[in-house]
Amino acid sequence: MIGRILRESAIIAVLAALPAGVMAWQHLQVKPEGPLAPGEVRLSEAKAWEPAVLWVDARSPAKHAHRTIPGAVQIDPENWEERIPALLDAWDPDKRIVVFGDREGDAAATVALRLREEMQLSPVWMLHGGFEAWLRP
Amino acid sequence: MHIRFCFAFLASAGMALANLHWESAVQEFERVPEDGSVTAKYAFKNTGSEPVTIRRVQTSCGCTSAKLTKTTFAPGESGEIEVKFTFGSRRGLQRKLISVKGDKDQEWRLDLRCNIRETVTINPAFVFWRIHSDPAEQSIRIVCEPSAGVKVTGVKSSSPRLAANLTTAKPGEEYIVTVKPTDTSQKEAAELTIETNFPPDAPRSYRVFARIR
Repeated sequence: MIGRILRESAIIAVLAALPAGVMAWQHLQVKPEGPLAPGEVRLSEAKAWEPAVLWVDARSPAKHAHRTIPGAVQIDPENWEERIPALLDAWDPDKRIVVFGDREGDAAATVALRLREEMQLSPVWMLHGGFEAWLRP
Repeated sequence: MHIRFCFAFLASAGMALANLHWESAVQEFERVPEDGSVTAKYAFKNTGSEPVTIRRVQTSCGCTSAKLTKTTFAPGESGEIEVKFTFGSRRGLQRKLISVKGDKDQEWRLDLRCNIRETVTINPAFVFWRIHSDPAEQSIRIVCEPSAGVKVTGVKSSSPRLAANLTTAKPGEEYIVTVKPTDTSQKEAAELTIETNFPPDAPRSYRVFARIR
């Protein structure tokens, strides 16, 4: 009788730990980066594509000049007309484009959309977490 | 018997995860500058078995605002977030991301895409050929707002290796620019200038790009 109670208790304990484990795993997966929006890629995956990546910095020229991902080309919605020729010169059809911006990423989202829709470049991704993701150790 | 109860309990515990199901988390709009703004309504339903409290709706641009009439939603209850994007001087394709955060560390991302259509739209604005590939002709379509009275008057290429030619599909409404390389034996870059008669006091030209890579 005692053996049966202990066995059932052990099974209950293991089963009770399962949802907690699932939740903890999901938590680790999501944090600190949060869910991927459509067209986003995580930094680890984008880094694995190197050197076949064209990094596009959609932050302001001042932030780009201060610090950026090595080799990144700067362009944002404000200077699109001026900067698009330089981006096309740096582009290669065998490279994947990864656009990054500030954490919230409206500028990066707009640049990525325009590269895809107006320029019909493909593939174009947005870096999840923006430049901050690159800065995190 | 005890174990069966235990399974039932755990199954229900798994279902108890609070979650919002979004009817359409990505929304696309076509507008003209005169519209001034666009409003998107993101409908959702709490499909979990616990109440969900929306702690924060975050937009990243002063041009975008979000409105939520209440914050806590019972299981099975539906709600809506209204997002308004004001164009200002923005034109062309625009995209706004909205982050919705729940009280249990959940986060959902909403996506608003709007094409603020100009008087003249050109698609694509870039054509390319791979080096040593077939130098086949490619087309660029130019569409004008019929009421604007725009005419495309010409096209010029900055490179003789990438020749451009203009044809009129429908006067004042649709034009086609064809681009053809003489060869694709080496890299090349060209800027094509599309000239119009609009506006009459300062006719505007548009740039598109061609590359051999």
